[in-house]
Amino acid sequence: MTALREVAAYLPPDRVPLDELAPRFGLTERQVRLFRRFHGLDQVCLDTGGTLLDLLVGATDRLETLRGQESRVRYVIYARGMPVAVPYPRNPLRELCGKLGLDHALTFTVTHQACATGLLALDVAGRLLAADPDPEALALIVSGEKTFTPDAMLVPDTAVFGEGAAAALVGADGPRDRLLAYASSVRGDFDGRLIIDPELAARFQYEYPELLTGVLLAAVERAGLTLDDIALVLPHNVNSVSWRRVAKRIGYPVEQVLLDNVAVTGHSFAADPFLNYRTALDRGRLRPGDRYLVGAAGLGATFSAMVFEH
Amino acid sequence: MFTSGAPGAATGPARLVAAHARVFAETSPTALDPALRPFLADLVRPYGNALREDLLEEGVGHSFGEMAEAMLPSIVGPDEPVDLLVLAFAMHDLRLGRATACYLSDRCSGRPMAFAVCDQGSGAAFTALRLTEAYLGSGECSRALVFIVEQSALHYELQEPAPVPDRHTAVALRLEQEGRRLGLRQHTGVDAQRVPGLLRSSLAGNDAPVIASARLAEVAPGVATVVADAGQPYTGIWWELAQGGHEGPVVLADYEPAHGLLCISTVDQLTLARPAPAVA
Repeated sequence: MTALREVAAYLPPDRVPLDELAPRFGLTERQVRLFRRFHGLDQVCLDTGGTLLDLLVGATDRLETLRGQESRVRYVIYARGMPVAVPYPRNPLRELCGKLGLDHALTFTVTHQACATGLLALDVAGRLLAADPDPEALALIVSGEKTFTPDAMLVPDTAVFGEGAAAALVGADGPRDRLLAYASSVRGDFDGRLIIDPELAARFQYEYPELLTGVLLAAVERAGLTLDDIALVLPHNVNSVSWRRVAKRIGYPVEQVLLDNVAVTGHSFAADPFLNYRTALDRGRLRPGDRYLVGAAGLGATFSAMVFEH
Repeated sequence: MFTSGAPGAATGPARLVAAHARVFAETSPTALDPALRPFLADLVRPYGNALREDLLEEGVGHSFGEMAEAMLPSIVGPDEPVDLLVLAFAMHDLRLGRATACYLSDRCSGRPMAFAVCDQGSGAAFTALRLTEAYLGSGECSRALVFIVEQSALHYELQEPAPVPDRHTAVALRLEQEGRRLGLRQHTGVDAQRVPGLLRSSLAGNDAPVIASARLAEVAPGVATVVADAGQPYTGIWWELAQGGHEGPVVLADYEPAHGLLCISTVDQLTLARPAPAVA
């Protein structure tokens, strides 16, 4: 049963208040106020002078159990929200593998599920590991992206992207954080750029709660559980208000949705599930045996959820 | 909606039931989209690649979504729901910010689970097939499409040598639980000197004709029966597969030097559907 072996988070040191970013994003004072008061966003973490490789290294350097296990890492998967991140043929993932002594691993990127790609990468890693003849084989998932272009900076009236990064070591089995179920709904009818298409943006916002709710409940059901069995929800850090609405919609206590990072990190693309897992662990929000639900949505659009047992 | 429990081992190989390929002669309207230039400028700015203003002005290139969408009717019918769609590419799309796999899912019967595999050069197509095998073999999917795509427009200067396709090509592979076996092997950590020996030992006892990329044929001369066109660096071997004409099993092989990755696939050619017109 696919299991998380270790998760590391890297939040770059620059914390930039929204009003400082407003000119860069073309945000009005009113929009900044809306983000602050309504969406619960205050600042984002950025690695102003750093590269994409720096971000990924920042995350993998914080893994405590990778050293000495390099030969067991058979797969290195970059979970990337943006379909393109660097000029061709640059490949920060291969550079990362070179630095980590993982040149022997099968390395590739999964994408096109935007910010839901982190959960996809976990499912993909689990399948590769399940088929691997070596039960001790590991997969390393990395995520984290640069906010290099307007499409990677802002979702209008919804979210501001940040540059948090994460790394996760995954095994075919393990004593904790075992994957119980996965649900994913791909909705390509939301193809388009919300930043320039207000009609599409409005339809996305309108249908979003129902679509996200659908995968959350489907994952719980697939795990053979009910919401009463779920000790904690790890959201993507899109904003607070949408998660409060989703929690209300499904009748789940909002205080059991880990919203701690929303105000301080920004929405770190596909890395959010891992960042929030790390926060939950560090703050003692998970006890042995707890079942927890992870939710994510990506533009384009994909809605996904996973259930784990800690 | 796709749902699954914890991933388990696939119970059998993927089965290939159809392969179609097509070269697209036209240019996508996206080539003249005003959003293209600012996105490209943002993309290359940290790395210093010079933009190709001549190409931006001329309007060249194609969109993976348009190419693959045009091929959908040739590979799957409206009453044949698809459970999984995987897009594999090496050099990026003309339409830079689009989650094209999602878009294609909406255009495809069954609204399948969809994603893309990239950043692996020619290995991405093999990895897409390997993942497809995992999903099909789990019983959670019964029909899958893999699109292998490349387009020829790169609107900035390369900073290091890399293959750039000389035409826009898409190959569509349809896989199901029934059909002919598609064997897959990916050898990692292989430097160029080891390729000929490893390839020969992997093919020992296998008399099937070998379709190899030009890249692989260069480092392992004398192994390939058919050498794919170097102008189709990422789709060439799959293009040759789709053209048919081979009796019995056929081996497809490619080598990605930047990854030290040797990929080998064995396909029974006999069951493939008749190719659709290959140039549009």
